[in-house]
Amino acid sequence: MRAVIIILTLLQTIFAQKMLESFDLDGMNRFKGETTYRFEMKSGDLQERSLMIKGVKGDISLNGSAGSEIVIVETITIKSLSRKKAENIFDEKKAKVYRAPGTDNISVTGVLMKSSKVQFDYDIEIPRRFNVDLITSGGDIYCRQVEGTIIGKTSGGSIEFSWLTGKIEGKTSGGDITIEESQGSITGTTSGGDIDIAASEGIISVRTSGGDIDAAHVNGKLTVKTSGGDIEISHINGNKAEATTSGGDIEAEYISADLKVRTSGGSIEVFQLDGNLDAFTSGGDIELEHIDGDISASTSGGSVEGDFLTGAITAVSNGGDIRVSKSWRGNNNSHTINLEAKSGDIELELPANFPASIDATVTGGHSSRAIESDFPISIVIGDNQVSGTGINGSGEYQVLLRCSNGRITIERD
Amino acid sequence: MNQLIIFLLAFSIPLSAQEDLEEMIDDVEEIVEDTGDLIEDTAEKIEDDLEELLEDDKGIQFESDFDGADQWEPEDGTVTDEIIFYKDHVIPANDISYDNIRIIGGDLIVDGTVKGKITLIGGDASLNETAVLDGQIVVVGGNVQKHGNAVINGKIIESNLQEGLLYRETDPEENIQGTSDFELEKRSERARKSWIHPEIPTFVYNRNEGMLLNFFNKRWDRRSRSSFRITSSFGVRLKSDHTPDYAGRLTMERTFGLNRNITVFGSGFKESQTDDTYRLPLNENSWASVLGRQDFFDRWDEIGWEAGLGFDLSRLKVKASYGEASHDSISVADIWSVFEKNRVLRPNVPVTHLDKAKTTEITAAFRTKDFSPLRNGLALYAKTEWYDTGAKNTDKINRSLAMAIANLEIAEGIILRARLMGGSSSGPLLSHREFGVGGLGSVSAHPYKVQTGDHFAQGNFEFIITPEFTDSGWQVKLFADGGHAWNKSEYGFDLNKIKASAVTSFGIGIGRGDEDDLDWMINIAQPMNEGGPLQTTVRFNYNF
Repeated sequence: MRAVIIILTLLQTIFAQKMLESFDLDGMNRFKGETTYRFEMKSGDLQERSLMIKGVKGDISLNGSAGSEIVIVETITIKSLSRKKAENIFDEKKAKVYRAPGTDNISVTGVLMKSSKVQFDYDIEIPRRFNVDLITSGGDIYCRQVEGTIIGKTSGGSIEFSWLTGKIEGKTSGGDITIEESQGSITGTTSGGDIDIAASEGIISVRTSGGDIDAAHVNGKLTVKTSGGDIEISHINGNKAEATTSGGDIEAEYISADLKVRTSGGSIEVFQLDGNLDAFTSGGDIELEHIDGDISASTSGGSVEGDFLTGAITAVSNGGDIRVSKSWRGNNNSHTINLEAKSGDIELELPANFPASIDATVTGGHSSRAIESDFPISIVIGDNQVSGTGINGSGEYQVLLRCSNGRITIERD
Repeated sequence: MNQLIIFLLAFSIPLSAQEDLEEMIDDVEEIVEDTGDLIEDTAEKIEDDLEELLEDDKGIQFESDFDGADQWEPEDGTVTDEIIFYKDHVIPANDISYDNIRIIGGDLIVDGTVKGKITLIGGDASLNETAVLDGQIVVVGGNVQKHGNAVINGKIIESNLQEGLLYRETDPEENIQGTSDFELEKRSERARKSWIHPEIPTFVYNRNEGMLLNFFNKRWDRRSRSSFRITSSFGVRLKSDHTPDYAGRLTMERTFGLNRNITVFGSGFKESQTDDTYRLPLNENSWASVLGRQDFFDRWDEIGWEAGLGFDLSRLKVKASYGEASHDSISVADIWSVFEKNRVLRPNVPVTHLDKAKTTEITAAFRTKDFSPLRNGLALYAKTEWYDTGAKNTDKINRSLAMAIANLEIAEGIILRARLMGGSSSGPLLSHREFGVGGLGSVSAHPYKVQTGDHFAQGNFEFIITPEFTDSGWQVKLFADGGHAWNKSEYGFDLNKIKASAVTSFGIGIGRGDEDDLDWMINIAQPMNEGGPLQTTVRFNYNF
């Protein structure tokens, strides 16, 4: 009995709705007005087919279709006490739709309304080959299966582009951008959201001021920039890929392109790169694995680690250790190695038959144990430094190792 | 009998008359809305003036409600004729030109809207991306460049000798009219729920009804589509050492208007009644019973029927009804509680048994929009009733109660609240219908209903430092209560006597919550004039 009382009391949420309390009930009725505009396409020329939506507030959803009809549905949802008032708003706030004579140049101009009680939505179907320019001051933009020049701009929502071809541009001041299965010249800018790119092709350039970027399965040239998030790119094929972040980590894997990565405040991880690498971080570690290309890696505040590196290696660390393992398949790559640890140790692993000309120096060292090598080298202890030189095989490739106040270890694989 | 005939007639008003009625109600409802807005605006103005007076360091804010140039239309006589020589003329974006302009030897650049007539001689016209032409542009000896997105509702006339003899008129763009469909998608919550027969809490716990389980709450109205509505609620009272008893109400309503603004109703009921709901919400009283073995309501049982009219005009609600019911006491039963298991339960007030009391009642309530304890607002409530006990040689007794609550934000995050209540009657009231002063929800730190009578006056005042001000979830308040109940046979509304006999208290409260709901608050109060021990209470709702 007691348990029942407690349980029922805890479950009790509804107050007695006495007269004054009944005022708390929402008094707004919800009305929906729909206006449908239908056009039959007149021109076959893409230059004379354009749809511009401007001055609207609300979501825009646009789909390309195989037909020849253009259908624009404007939905206005109004919260109002009375039907009369709602109908007046519906009549007054309908968008103005114009069509230039003899063409398929159509413009939809919205009537802006600040009230949160009125909500607009646009659902559009157009022939697949069309130029579209969609501008909304507050809502999401969805655009699918269109070929042409496609522009989407929103001041406060997300953008989703999929199955698009042509010149594609997306810009939002406060939402995410998603680009899927699209090809062409693609640009995307957001001031406060994440960016996802998947299965797309062409020259792709995206930038966000406050979110993460994720790009996967991209063919072509990829440039991604974020001012405040992480970057993950994978399965990129092309001639160049560039990733820059001012405040996050970068992860790149399965890249077949020259890769340039920059971060001002995070770590860098690169796995399975077929191309040259240029990596720089101001405040994190660099981890590399299976890189088939020349490497330039520099960190101001972390360590550099690498395995299965087949090309030339240049690595600089101002505040950490360097540990790399060189693979040598006798290919045509350059194989020079230049490692500099300004405040840490260097550990280098070389193949036994690697034709190296080794030059190692430890500044601030006083003992022969400052340099340890599995390869034959002669060590000279000088004034405040220890040097070691030696040649393995033909000595074709220079191996230059410099560190301060640390140790250098050269191991045979 | 007469009441029954009127009731049945109202129920059978044909639906065809409803549309006219609905439109009329809409208009009245908007007037009420506007009145509410006016009160809020006045409160905000007072707040602004006070802040200015107190030299609040709010800083200067510039704000404009101007919603775009398209709202502006030229006043009579403001359209001008203008001639411009050898100078370009620009109409910026968002600007509207109503003027008749002639430009000689200069260009015209349009980013805004042209509603007048512009003539260019020896110059070019550029209609850019955001340009809208509702008027006319005539270009003589020049070219017209038009962006694909420029909207042409008016006319462009070009005549140019340089390209041979050229005369061209650009017709307005085709303004496409769509097909429209407009419908009510969902009725308001207010229209979906009945205020005549509100939803009864599933669980009620107190010393009179024990555990009242309202297990059956149903509403039938074709999912809010019908203007008829039947609401029923039934429950069982489980009391120790008593056989189970039942309580319930069945109401039939016929409503008029989209928002069910007018309701004709009839109810049959067997349920407890109380005059103390202003003290605290019903569920908080249940909590007080479960946790502390306390009950702050006096009740009596009624079995009977009522019928009447209800007017719901958004912020104003008025209900008028006539009913007949028997009155009886409900015995006090022992209740289990988590704490204070040995507290002695307060006895019932004496209830005069009545076989049939006839009651005519009018209730009116008004609240400003989005009324909340921590925002500017005003709430008014008044109820007057005439009851006839059926006793020989007695007249109908009129009993009236009025209450006003006002909240004023005197500076950002600081609220001054006041509740004023008054009650009067035309003669001696039945003992269980007397007004009482003292106790929780009335005058703190005094015993429950320390004063009773057929008249009363009460004031509650609070000075609240809100969470917005403390910049956290905490809030602090200082409060003062005062009130007096007396019998008219002793004296009338004599302010000096009321002041001399009133009980008063003051106190401080600290708690957590926001402007919608109070999580909890501890109030510590002390009698003001005669002194006495401190009284500590824990509340889960605002005092009023």
